[in-house]
Amino acid sequence: MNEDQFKDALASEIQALLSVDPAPDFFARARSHAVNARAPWPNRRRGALIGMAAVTVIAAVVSWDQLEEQSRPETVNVSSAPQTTAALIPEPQPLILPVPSATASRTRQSAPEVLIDPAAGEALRRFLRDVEDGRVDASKIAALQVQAMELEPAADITVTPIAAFEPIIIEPLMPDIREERGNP
Amino acid sequence: MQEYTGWIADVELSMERDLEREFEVRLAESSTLAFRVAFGVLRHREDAEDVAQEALARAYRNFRKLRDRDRFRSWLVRITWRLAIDRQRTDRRRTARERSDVAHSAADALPETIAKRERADRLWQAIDALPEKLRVVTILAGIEEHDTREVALLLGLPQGTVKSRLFLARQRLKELLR
Repeated sequence: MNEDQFKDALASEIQALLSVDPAPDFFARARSHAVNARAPWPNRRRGALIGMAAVTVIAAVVSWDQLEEQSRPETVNVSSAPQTTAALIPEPQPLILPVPSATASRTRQSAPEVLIDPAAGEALRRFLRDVEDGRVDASKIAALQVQAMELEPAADITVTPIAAFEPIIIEPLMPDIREERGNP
Repeated sequence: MQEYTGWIADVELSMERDLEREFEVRLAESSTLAFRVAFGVLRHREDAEDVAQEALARAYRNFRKLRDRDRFRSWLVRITWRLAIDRQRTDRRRTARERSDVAHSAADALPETIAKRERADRLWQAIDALPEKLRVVTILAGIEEHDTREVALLLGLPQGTVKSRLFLARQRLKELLR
């Protein structure tokens, strides 16, 4: 057997090995498997739309919550007993998404709260920072406060009379009738 | 505005239907090819059917992304080949057991059938011993009497490369079968 004959024989042998047909129901099975493997394209688009809508709703709820948080005045919990005045003023916090939970709302309701306007809080915070840095002399302010607080003793206070008027006597216009008749 | 969006939805729906119809046609044309490619690697009918089914499902999922639809067959062949190779690697132990079962049942057959089977086994072993690049051209050339041009199209290779690989593969097989 020469080279070409061998190659032809080999090729036909390999063809015979590979000329195997699938089971008669293979096409139907393959078709249903392909279709079931994934929902049809229109359904997929519908799924994507539903997903997008869900994401939008979640984003809206979260941003609404954030807006509510921002519009609400900042609160300081007095029950935590801060040691310094500066500790009373809340520092600006990084944005944290609110996690609504039953426990959190209960805790917030039970603790007394002092409401501080954010602008006033910021001004006070700046003032305290200036005092700490020495830009503002706090002793002068303290001295002013002492002067204002020390009142004179009550005994030293003389109440000046407002005015001195004679008592007004109103004369009767008619004479006493009983005197005229001579009654006893 | 509503009419316009309705019109767009109708057009999209009809496009989807066209795509599905086109895929049906491709499926009918190429399912046997996918099966034979898988069988060429696995040599087990049920396994080959499983792999071909999975390849067709993947092809269906990505059919929309395929820009050049005329290349569907080559795309499918490559998906099937890779899946079959993966399956073969993970299932080597089971394949060996099934081969021994086949050998046992062959012992009951006629002498001519036994000789034929032995020859087929030797040929399969020789094909298995080929490097992957040579193996794939050998199998594709053996399926549906593909010539070098068709094999080159299926693999996305130049025809000259396929010719030289086929030549090398046959040389190796000749050496192995001597």
